[in-house]
Amino acid sequence: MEITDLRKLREQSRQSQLLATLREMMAGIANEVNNPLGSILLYSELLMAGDVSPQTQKDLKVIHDEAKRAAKAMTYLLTYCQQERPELRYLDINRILEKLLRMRHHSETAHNITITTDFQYGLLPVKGEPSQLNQLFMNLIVNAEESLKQVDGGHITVTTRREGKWVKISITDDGPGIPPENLRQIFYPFFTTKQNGEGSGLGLSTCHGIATSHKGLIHAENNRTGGATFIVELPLAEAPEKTRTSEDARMAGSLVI
Amino acid sequence: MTTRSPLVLIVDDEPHLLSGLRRVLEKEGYEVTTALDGETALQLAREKKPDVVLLDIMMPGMDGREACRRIREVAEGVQVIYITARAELNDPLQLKRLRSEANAFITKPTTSKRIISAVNGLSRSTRQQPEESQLCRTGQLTKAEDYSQSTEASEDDRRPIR
Repeated sequence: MEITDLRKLREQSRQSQLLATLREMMAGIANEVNNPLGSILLYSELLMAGDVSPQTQKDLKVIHDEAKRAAKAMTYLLTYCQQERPELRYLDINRILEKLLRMRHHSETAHNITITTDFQYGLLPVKGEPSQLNQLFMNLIVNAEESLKQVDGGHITVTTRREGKWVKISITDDGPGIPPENLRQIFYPFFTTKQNGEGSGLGLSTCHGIATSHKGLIHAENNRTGGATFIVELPLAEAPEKTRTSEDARMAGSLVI
Repeated sequence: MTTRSPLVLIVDDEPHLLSGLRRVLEKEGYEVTTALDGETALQLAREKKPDVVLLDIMMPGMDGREACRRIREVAEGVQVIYITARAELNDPLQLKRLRSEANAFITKPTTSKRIISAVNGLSRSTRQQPEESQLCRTGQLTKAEDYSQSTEASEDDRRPIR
């Protein structure tokens, strides 16, 4: 075996060990944090329901909302930490994206953001875990929105294509783009460019984790004409066999999201 | 079914949470009894025959799910709500298992609003539909309500995720 191949293998093994340990640690922390957060939520609610001044009411709401926010970060953390193979179902990428974009429409209009979709005609089936794929694309769409909000709006294009045995999904924005020095770390956990603890730094690393667990790829690049593009590639699902169980038939026929 | 206020048994190994949950439900008019572990829970279930059990399935000692099984044996028609971590529900195989054991589940950390709707929802079914509680006794459930946080994007998701 070539020296470089060996080195690469060793490096990959070391990285996957590191990631596995990191994941375990993060899962443990998330669970340890969820219990105290539960108490904070309940007790602040109990206090708010009591006879307190309007100012105290406001202060308690801050405590409550911040605890909710922390809980949300823990949810992302736990999703990222999941290692078990998700139960896979046949899903149509175009439908997933359509649904997500419909959900975001209102928010996007409010921030002067327009969307163009360029979906490959026909079905783009992938085998995947619905809530995870939803989260993957939701994170990317919201990420594009966030960068456009910095420049008071702009345009997002979502493209889907079948390329050989892959489904390629591109999400392009015409915002400020990604500083080149950040490109390398952008999918690392806890990397964030947001100030004052606003971002958890987990959105994109969650995307990376989900893409990888679906045997796919994800990368980011800056566009020549400005703005950034995130590309996800997922393996095209093989068509279910002709003789299949009624459950497969139901899944394939309805292409559940 | 009697016309007393429904009795809720809360089982959680975290004392603060236990106390907080108790106060929330007592304010809503429920009778509440509490246990810090599965063994105590089983004892209380035997003595007091609760209508609803709020059960943390991530406790050390007696497995929460084992406790559920044994509680069902001693308290006929009891409705059980599992309190669990979001990650447990993300695993579809685990979800299937949990669905066959509990009448509902709530994820930690939870708000009092969710606890109240879950308990309200189930205690209503205990009182008004005795046939359904027959189903529950045998563990054959037709539906398990999910009072956990949705993984679907919601208005809350407008906040930056990065």
